[in-house]
Amino acid sequence: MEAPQERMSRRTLLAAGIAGLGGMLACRVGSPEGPTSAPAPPEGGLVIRNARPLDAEAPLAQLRSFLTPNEHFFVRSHFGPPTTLPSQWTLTIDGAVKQPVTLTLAEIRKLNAATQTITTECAGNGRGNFRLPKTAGVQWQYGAVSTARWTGVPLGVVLEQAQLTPDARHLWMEGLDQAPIAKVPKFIRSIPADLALNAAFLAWEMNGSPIPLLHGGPLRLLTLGWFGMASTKWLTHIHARPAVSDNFFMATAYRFADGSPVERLRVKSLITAPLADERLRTGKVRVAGQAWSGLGSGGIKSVEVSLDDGQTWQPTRLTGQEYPYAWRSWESEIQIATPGPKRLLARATDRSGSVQPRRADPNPGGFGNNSMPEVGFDATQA
Amino acid sequence: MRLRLDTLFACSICLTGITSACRPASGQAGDDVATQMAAPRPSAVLQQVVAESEKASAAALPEGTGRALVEGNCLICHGAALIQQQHKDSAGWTKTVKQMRTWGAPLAEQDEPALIAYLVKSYGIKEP
Repeated sequence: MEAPQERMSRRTLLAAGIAGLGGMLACRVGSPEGPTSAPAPPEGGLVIRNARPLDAEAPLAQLRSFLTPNEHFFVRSHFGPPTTLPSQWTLTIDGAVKQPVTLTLAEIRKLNAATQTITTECAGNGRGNFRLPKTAGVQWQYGAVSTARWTGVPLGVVLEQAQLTPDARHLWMEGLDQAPIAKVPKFIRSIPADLALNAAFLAWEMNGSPIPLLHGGPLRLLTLGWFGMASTKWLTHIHARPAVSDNFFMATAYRFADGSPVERLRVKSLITAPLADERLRTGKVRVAGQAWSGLGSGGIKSVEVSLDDGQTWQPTRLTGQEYPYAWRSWESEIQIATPGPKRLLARATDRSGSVQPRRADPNPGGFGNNSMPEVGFDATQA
Repeated sequence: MRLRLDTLFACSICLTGITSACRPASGQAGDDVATQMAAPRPSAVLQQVVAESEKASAAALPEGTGRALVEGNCLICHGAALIQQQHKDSAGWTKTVKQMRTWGAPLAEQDEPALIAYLVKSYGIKEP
């Protein structure tokens, strides 16, 4: 019998392979003489930004596949996983409901399971790329974003069992995680009831395996099209309330400079090939990456690349299948005519017409940096 | 109160919930799915890498009177890297330290200026 970890890894990789031809082809990077395989991931599989609580990015080379293997999926939480887990996991829904309910994990798993492919991005992804003289929080670069195929049920199916009343306008999501010191407020986020009913997913499997503890297992929320802070991990309690949560992490944290709340994903692209400082030959070079937005319905209209700091742009091909709330893989071949240092830019446009900015407006919290990605590399004469 | 670093590391790694030392209560199979089976723990390799990362970041704290204050107050809840990657002026670090005291960091009020001065000196505004 396979060890659970081995089984998870193989199944995840299989899923990644099936999910998109790009997942396999993405390993072929550069000109025919150039690198042909992704560099090995760091030991442990992640780029660690902070050890405790663990905040770690996906290595960019591991984001070449459409689905991110669980062991490379970025890790983020305010307090880390709960240190003590109950023998039986339950989810309670109460407050403004006709029928408060407490469901066991087994009962939830008996509901009609579905799969949903979802891209999740930390609101602070790219904070470190703002390069501000004053900055707080984890200095993420490009890799606090990942995509997985989740198994679970639409949250609305579970909420039906409790029957929300008209006063249930916001659902406060509480997980089992907490700080080592009891006075630190818990991480409680709320989402509007209409969003909870129509665009939220309750998951217990990730890429075909039980959700790893670091990723919110055994039960977590995924709020579609919103930054990751709205996708509560280790979910145990849903409080149906008339008002938005007054928790610190809702009322004070996660705000842009003008005080507006950080919510929906912004149009954004990522370059996964070539990688920074890679050495390539002149001639035809394959470039590739991912692009996403918070729109749903696929979202991404086009991705273009530039080698001349945005003076001219070249279209790329969108590849693989389109999923409403997942990123879209893109690729192209560009001609490198002369040797020397090069800088590649990418920009995505979504179906609403929003274009990824060259440089996003910085804000003190470092949220929502959807500036165009840029990769510097060297070309040598073929 | 000052925690010994070896105690702190053992404790801190446990607080991340990623070591086998932090086992959940034993599950009752019955009709339900035992929680620990439903939420696999990180690999041994990742646990080791994380532990080494935490040690390295703590070791990189600059010498000075504030270092012991960081070790004894801040590292109770989080790793040193969380501090080291931030850059704030005196007002910024003052706000952070006061917030942490409000949230239960055991820092004595009379030690606040020394801790803030250490943080500003070590992790102040970053040159453009």
